[in-house]
Amino acid sequence: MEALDNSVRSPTIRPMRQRSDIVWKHLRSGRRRRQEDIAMTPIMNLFIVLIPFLLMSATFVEYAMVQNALTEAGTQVSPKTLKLNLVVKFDGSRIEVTSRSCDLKHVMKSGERKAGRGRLPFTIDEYEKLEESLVKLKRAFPEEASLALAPSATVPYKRVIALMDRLRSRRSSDQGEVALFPDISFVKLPEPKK
Amino acid sequence: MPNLTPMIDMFTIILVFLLKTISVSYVGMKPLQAVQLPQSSSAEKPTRYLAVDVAPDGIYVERERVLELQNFALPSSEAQYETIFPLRAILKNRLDLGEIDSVHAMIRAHHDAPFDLIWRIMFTARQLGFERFENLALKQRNS
Repeated sequence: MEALDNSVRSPTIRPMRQRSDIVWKHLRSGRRRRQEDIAMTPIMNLFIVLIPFLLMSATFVEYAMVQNALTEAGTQVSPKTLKLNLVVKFDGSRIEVTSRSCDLKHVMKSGERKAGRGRLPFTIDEYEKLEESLVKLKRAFPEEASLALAPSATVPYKRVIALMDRLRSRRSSDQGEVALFPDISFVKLPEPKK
Repeated sequence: MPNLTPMIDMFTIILVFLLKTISVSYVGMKPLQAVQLPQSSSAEKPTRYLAVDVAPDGIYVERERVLELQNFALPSSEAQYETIFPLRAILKNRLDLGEIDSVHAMIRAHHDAPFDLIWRIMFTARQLGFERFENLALKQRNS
């Protein structure tokens, strides 16, 4: 018994039970240290910087584009390039579709082309009638894709864009979107003499 | 230590959602805060060209004010001419420096801007060779 006690106290000889205790203690403390090593700070930093940046730069609206050209006042449009010669005047409440080379009323009645001058008046409540008339004109002149739009000076921009949407294409449930006159040029007509 | 797992879950989901939503091509399209765009049913997507913003308080070229307006009204010194000379000078300067495409321009105008002002801007730009104008609008949702 004394010999055994002496061997336990000796620093060089360690019994198996004590060695395994030391190993076990080392393992447990290492596992605790690994749990403490997971650093949340960089991940949180990343989130807190990235998410506000993305929120500020993200756009949740969809943009559309309406193209147009500009025709200077007094520019003569060649009859060879624009046989229909359609000019749409708009003062905010009334829309007037005119042609300097085509009898528009004849086209409306018969669907056939006829030389002359024409004028079709509409109000802003008659967009459906306007579209139907444009569809008939398009059927008679399928090669024509352009017209000149002459809004009055005081017409708000949103009304001009809304009218351009109607002139460019027509949406129907059975045919989808049908192109009418997508090539729109703005023109400024001379003021009527008082 | 508080449990951070739910917070990280939430941040991860928000991050993935924003990364999918963000559209880099639209970042440069956004007009000035003061400009409320009109709505349009056009399906054409805009292309980024030289941007002229028309707000109630001024005309801006690439977000730099070139002319002050009073509720879309031109100053009396400019109102009598069809050409907007300060705008013309800025556009000419940018063209001379080779900074911009000389054919296309983008108009980002407030929906209440009178057409006469839009016309004058286009007329001024046309003198320098701009031929086609893209009017930026908000895509109209189908009802």
